Amino acid sequence: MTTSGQRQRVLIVDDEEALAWSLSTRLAKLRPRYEVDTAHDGETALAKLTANPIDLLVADVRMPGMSGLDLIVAALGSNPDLPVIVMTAYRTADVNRLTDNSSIQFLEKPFEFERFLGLVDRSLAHGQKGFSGAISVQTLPDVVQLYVLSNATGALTIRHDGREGKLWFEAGAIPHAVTDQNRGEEAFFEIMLWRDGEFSMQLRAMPPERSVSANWQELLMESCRRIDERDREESSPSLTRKGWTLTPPPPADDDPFADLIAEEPASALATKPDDPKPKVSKETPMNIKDSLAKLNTIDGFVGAALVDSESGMLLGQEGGGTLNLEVAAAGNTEVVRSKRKTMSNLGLKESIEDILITLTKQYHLIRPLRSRSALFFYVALDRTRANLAMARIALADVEKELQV
Amino acid sequence: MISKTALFQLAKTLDGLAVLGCMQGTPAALAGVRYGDVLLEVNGRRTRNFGEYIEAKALRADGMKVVIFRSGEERPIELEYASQRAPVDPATLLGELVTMRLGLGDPDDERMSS
Repeated sequence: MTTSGQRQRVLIVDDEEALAWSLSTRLAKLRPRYEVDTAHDGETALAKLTANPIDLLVADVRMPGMSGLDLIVAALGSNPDLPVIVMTAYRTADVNRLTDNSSIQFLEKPFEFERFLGLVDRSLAHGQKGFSGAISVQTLPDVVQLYVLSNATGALTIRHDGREGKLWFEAGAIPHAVTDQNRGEEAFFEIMLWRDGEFSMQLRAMPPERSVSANWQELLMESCRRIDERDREESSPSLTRKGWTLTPPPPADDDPFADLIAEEPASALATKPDDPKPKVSKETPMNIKDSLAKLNTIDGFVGAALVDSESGMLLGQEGGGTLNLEVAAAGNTEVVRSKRKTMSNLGLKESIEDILITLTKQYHLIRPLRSRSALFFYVALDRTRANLAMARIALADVEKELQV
Repeated sequence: MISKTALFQLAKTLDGLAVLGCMQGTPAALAGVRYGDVLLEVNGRRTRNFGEYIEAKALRADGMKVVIFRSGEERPIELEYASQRAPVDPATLLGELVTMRLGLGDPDDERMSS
């Protein structure tokens, strides 16, 4: 029998007991070489890792009592080299500050178990520096946008399907990009067309050369165009691809892993996130007005509407802006059609969180309300001013708060 | 045809929701609900914002009773949902909304399809 000294110890801390349980049992089953333990609050976790040193800490950020961040700081205080994986839905300033620490990795919720597994393996195998993330939830342009907006400097390595690419960020600019086949702007566009994979960020890495002259907005705009083009042309999508749908960060007070757990047939905790039967509700959440007001604050906000596909009404409200849809170019319906085809081929219908269409001057986002399958939010954004990643997060927030 | 700006002002004054349009063949379209109406009530409850609409709609599963304001008067309308309804595909819906050209162009002189 091995002892704990020989097996690598992993401690998973999440107040969501079902999630901690699900992650730990699957990890223990697939990786007998790890000794996996769980805790559901920071204090218990700290007591455990003090009593019995661990090799990897996996922690949620938001927990009642001692927060995940406090826990990580305390854990690193006693062992500065301890690899840490932070699970979080949002990159807050606190989380960003943490990622300056080289032993901390970063896993964006919700994630797929395989990503989690890969990250655990890598942290324990190499003690890899920098932080990594799973991008099943976002498109690469969104990820790039987040780094640009956080004024990051460093090298982002992206792996997809056996290929590897690298993007350099320098104080909010993208000076250099390279892949196996391309360099400069073409390399950037090649990477942006990858649909899924992994990325890791080496903070403070400086670009070895400068190959990109376009600014990041131009790069992302052109990427969006090429992505649309690719989708339009595609007739036989690969069944293994996962990155097309976009899943905004889940609400903090909701079970962000309902999907993940539900995918595991053996789990007795399997739940369906959607209840198709409308329920009678008596209370109005206090923050509906505030949450809708958030829509107005989205950069480039043009207008929003609520679409009830059951009654057929498209509704606008005061403060929602006057939704002006520009003339749909002839090709746009084709885009939607081919996207739909792709989705149905992939069997992705159930997992769609939001859908984006790119028009000449506007982005249009549509997002079904999770709690009411017949209702959709419809938002138009000015392309020149919009920040898609932020818009998605804001829209997801509003949707979350409207769940009644 | 009321301009969109005026419609939003009217909706604000009446404390209701502006009906920006109806998708073809849906219960609301068949019942005559159209652009320019202001939705005041659903299932007996006031609908001053999206949240109240969602709540009021949830009171019934088979349809909804709405009160709309048009041409200076309130009109009650009964909407019955289609009994066999395929799950809505967001991409199709988005395509439909875009191709409906709802409110495209200048808000003050555009026509809405109904």
